[in-house]
Amino acid sequence: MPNQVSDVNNLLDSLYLELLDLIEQHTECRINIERINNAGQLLLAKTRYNQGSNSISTAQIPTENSEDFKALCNVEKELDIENTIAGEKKHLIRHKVEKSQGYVEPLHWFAALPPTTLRNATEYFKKSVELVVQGANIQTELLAVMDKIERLKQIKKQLVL
Amino acid sequence: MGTIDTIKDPRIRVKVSTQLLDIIKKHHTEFAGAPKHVVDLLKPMGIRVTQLDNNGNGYKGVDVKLLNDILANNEVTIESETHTTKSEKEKEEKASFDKTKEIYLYLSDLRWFSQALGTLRSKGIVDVYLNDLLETCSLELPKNATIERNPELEARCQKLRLEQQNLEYRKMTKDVDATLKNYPEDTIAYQMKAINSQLVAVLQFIFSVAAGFAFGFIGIQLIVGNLDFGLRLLLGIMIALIIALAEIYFLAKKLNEYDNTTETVNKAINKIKASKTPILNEEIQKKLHVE
Repeated sequence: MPNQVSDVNNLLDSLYLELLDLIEQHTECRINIERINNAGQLLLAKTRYNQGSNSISTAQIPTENSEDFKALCNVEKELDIENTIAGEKKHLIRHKVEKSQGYVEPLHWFAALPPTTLRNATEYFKKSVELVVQGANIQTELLAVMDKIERLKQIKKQLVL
Repeated sequence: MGTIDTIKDPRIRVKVSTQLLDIIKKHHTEFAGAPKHVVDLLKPMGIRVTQLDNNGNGYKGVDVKLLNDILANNEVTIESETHTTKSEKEKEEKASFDKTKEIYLYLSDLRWFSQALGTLRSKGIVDVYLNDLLETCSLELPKNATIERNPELEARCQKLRLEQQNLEYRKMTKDVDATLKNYPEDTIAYQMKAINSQLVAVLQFIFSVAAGFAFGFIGIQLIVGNLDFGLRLLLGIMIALIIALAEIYFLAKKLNEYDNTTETVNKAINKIKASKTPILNEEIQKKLHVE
C-alpha cells in the first residue's frame, strides 16, 4: 500500500511540525505567566508598602467558621474533535459577583474601597489564570501529539515490513 | 553565582545532522527559494539559494480526520519499553553531527523544508520524509539566561557581612575581653542619655507653649487692664499656637536627627578625617622648619 505509507509519512511530518510549534507556544505561555505573576506580585508588595504591614489582619480573611461562598471561576471541559488532536478543550468560566447567590468579591474583604494597586494586581492575576488554562490546553495537545506520533511510528514500521 | 532571568527567545532550535545537511547540499538547485535564515546559513558553505519573501505561508495544519481514520484502521500493539529504548540508542549512535560547524534551524525553516521536500518528492527526485530526517537531529530547547552578579555589589556585600560578623564576635567575646566590657551602646547610662536628650526636647516644647498661653491669658490683661474672659482665652490660644508652630519646626528637625544616626556617624567620621589632615600637614611643615 504505497499510498497509505505516504499518507502516514505526511501525517508524521505535519505532526512533528505541530509538536515543535506546540513546544514553542508552551514556552511562550509559561514566559507570559511568569511575567504577569511577577507584575501582580510587585503590585501586591506595593499595596502592602503603601498601607503598612499592620493594616490587614487574619480576622478579615474568611475562616472555616464563616459563611460558605462559591468560586468565581470554574474550568469546564469541552469536546472538540474537529479542531484539536487531543479531542477536548478547557474553558474558563467566570461568574458575576452576586452576593445573594453566594458569589463574593474577595477584594472587599480587605477594604470597601480597595486601592488601585490592589485592583490592578487582581487584574494581573485574573489574566494569569486564563494563561494557565491556555497552557494546560497546549499541554494536553502536546501529550496527544506525542502519543499519536508514537502510534503512527508503529504503523509505519508495520507497513514497511 | 547568578540569578536566572526569563527566557528571551522562546524559539526552539533544531541542531542539524549531517544527513539533513547532505540532502540540502545535494538538491539545493531544485529549491525555488529559501527563507532568509537558511540562505544566510548556506552562504559560508558556498551554496547560493535565492531568498524567499513569504515565510511558510502555505503551511497547513494537521489533517485530524485522516489521522483518526488511519489510527482507527490500524491496530497498534504497543511494544515493550525495552525494545523502544534500544532502537532509540541505535538512533543516537546513528545520528552524527558536524562538530566543527553547528547549524541550527528554526521552526519556520523546518516548515519551508517540509514543503520543499514535498515538491521534491512529487518530482520523483528523493523519497525522504522530514520525520526520518528529524529523528537524526537533536532538539535544543530555549534556555533561561543567567545574570552574573555585579562584582561591585558582591564586594559591598562581602564588606557588610564582615562588619556584621565583627559585631557578633565582639558581642560574644564581651565577657572575656576586659577592654570591650564597657561597650558604650550597651550600658544603661548611654541609653538613659539618649532618652534624656529627647525628653528635654519635648519638655522644652511643652513649656514654651504653656508660657506663650500664660502670656496671652494673664500678661496682656496686666498690661492693658480689665479684659473679657473670651478675649483673654482667644489671645492666649493664638499666641500659644504661633509659638507651637515655630517650636514644632525645631522639634521635628531635632528628632529627625536621632532617626538617621548612621548619617550623623558618617558626618562625624568625615569631620574627624577633615580635622586630621591639616594637623598632619602642620607637623610636616614644622619638621621642615626645624630642619
